[in-house]
Amino acid sequence: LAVKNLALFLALAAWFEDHYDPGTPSSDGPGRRITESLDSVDADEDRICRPRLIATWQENPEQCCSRSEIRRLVERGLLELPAKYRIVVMLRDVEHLSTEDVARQLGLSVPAVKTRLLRGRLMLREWLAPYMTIGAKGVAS
Amino acid sequence: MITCEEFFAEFADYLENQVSPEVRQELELHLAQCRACHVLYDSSRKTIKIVSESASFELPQKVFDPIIDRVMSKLRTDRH
Repeated sequence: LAVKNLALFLALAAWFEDHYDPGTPSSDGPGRRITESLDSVDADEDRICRPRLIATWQENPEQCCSRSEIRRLVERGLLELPAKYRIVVMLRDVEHLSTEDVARQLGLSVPAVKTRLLRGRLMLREWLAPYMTIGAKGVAS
Repeated sequence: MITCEEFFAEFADYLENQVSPEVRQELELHLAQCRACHVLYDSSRKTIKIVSESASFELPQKVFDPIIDRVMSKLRTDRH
């Protein structure tokens, strides 16, 4: 597995923390990441992740935000994802591995990868939507 | 015309361009008539493009290789 970038490194490191540091005191505060096992049964994965914001996105994201703002948004969005979705999105959309290769690397079935990929992508879509719709005010400083 | 649920059942494969021409035709007919699904499809496609183009930051190999090795070896042993 070729690991060449910071984003993937962060994904793997976060996944590692989620899984191998269960002694960390839990917190109910805002922003706490949901930790889920990479192999857990996906009881809710059939639930449709409908868009909350039915508004058309700009054709070009740079009409809303600068390139560096978009990059920061994507990084933050990826880190907000539950680990089991984040790692699949990272390997497929950032590292551009095939779905089959992602499944092989993670020891998951191809259907499981497809399901997690879709959910992860839809969660990122929700994260980006407030910034990308026509008329959005851009990233608050 | 297919329903939104039927559209969504094919959505993951449609985003990956892995549907048959017949299914594609049905999905595109639905998209032409359903604004919610059209927004969902359009914004999901753009999300994938944004993520693919934005998240790539090269780091010196020696900075994170040992940690990656640790994570990957843990992943491997975890499966046994």
